[in-house]
Amino acid sequence: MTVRVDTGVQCRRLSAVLSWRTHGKGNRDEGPGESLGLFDGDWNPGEYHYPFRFMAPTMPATYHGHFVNVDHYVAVRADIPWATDPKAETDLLIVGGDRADFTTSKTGKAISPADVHKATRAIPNVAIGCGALVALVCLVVMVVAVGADVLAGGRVTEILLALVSTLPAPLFFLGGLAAMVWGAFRKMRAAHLGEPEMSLEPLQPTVGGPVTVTVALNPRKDLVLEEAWFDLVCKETATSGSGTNQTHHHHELHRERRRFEAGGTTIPAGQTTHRRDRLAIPAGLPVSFASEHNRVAWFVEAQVKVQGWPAWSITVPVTVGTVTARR
Amino acid sequence: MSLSATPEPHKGGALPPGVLRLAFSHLNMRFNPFGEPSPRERADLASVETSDLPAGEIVQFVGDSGRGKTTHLLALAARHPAAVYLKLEEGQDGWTAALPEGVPFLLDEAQRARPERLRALLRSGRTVALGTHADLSALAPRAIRTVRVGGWGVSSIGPIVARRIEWARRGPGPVPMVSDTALAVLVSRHGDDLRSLLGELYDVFQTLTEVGPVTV
Repeated sequence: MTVRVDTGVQCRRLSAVLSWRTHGKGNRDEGPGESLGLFDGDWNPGEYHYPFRFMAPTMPATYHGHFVNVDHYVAVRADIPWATDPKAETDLLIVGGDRADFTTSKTGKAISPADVHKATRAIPNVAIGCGALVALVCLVVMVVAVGADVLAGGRVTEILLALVSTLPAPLFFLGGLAAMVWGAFRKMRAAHLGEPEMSLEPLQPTVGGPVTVTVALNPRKDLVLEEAWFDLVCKETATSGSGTNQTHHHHELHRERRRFEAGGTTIPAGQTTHRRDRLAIPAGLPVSFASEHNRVAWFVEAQVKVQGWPAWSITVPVTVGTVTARR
Repeated sequence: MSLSATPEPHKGGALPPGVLRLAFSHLNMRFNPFGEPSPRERADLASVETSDLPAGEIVQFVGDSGRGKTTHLLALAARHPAAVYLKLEEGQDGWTAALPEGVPFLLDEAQRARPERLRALLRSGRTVALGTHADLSALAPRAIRTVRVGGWGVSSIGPIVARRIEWARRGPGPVPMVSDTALAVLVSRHGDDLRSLLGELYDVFQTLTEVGPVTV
């Protein structure tokens, strides 16, 4: 750092901070930073040099994308009493990194396929339970509202008006019923199709490295596969604004589809069948990154179409890192 | 007095060719100037009516989404660091915390507040600035100043765009230029929706490969 002083001045603290922050379409996120104190005391007119060094952080790596960018900055500042503090900033590149992923977001933590399967299995039960509760409560509200009119032999228009007065209860009632039907359908499909499961190997692949996707089918009745495929996807998501003015900006960086079933195969009941394919995370693409408003996410979307049933699909996040540098 | 920080060049061998360079250095910029600024930067970048907010005054900034109401309020917040800024989210029709006395209250999305709550606020004698989609002057017990936000044209957008570009400048020398002709094209596409217009410029700057006149 170079300090040029025109007139003598006291400096309470000359400091340098190394930190990362995002820029682009989303709200800015910033890392905690590492601070160094370089000087305190009096300066006479002249030029002063303060060499300093930081250990390069292991993560996150510099990333320049479409909506999401991550950069590292060294900011220097002189705390001068009763004056505007002079400051300067320069950006620098951090290549690679030796951690498999980077996340500062609570929602950006790595999720294993097993967690996804567990959550997926719970969804129909939650839909049926919550749907039934909402429908029941709304039904009670509506019955109470129109009951008196019905018992008193009220006219149809009066009964309808009483029903309208309970809005939005009728709408929630229908929504609750729809959730129950949807949940029941999912359970019926699971009873027929079984619960297909997807697994990844390795769980944390590296850029340039392979990843093997396996879908296991264990139907309870004979089923005919129409089509099965999976997509490996890398997508940036940047969130700008807040509340109802919040906007999510998405940009797909990569999508590669592999079909592991052209169709027509019959899978007998009770027999576990595996469909497996392997592909590489292309070099030159970014590692996983997640901060509060900015994310570079990798995931695998799989879809299995079975004759007579709507397609089964699942999305599993993949945490992609760089190759660990060993010294 | 001046400070400068200059990193030493990389000494650990050649960097992978073509993989990384400082962000937007090919445009003599540090970042895309039409990305999302922080609230503080947004206030600094604001090109708004900067008349002050005298004690006891009520002003409302009225306009549609994307026209600059929030920017006006943030600019006032920058001028009055003690001011309380509150944005009412969807479904929020008031506030629970007691407002500190003697400081301006800047209320964004004020049309979401309950009328009786707003009426009480505007009668309190407090200094108030409102950002609103609808004219709320009927709720005030006395005349309030109304600033219609919007009506952006080439002459008013030009300085905003130039300020954004200077904000992102990396160093001395030329930077991309957005001509009045290009701005006129953008205005014909986006009308006075400033947010949408700046959004298109973001995409344009993502694709620029060198410093020069910007075409849209």
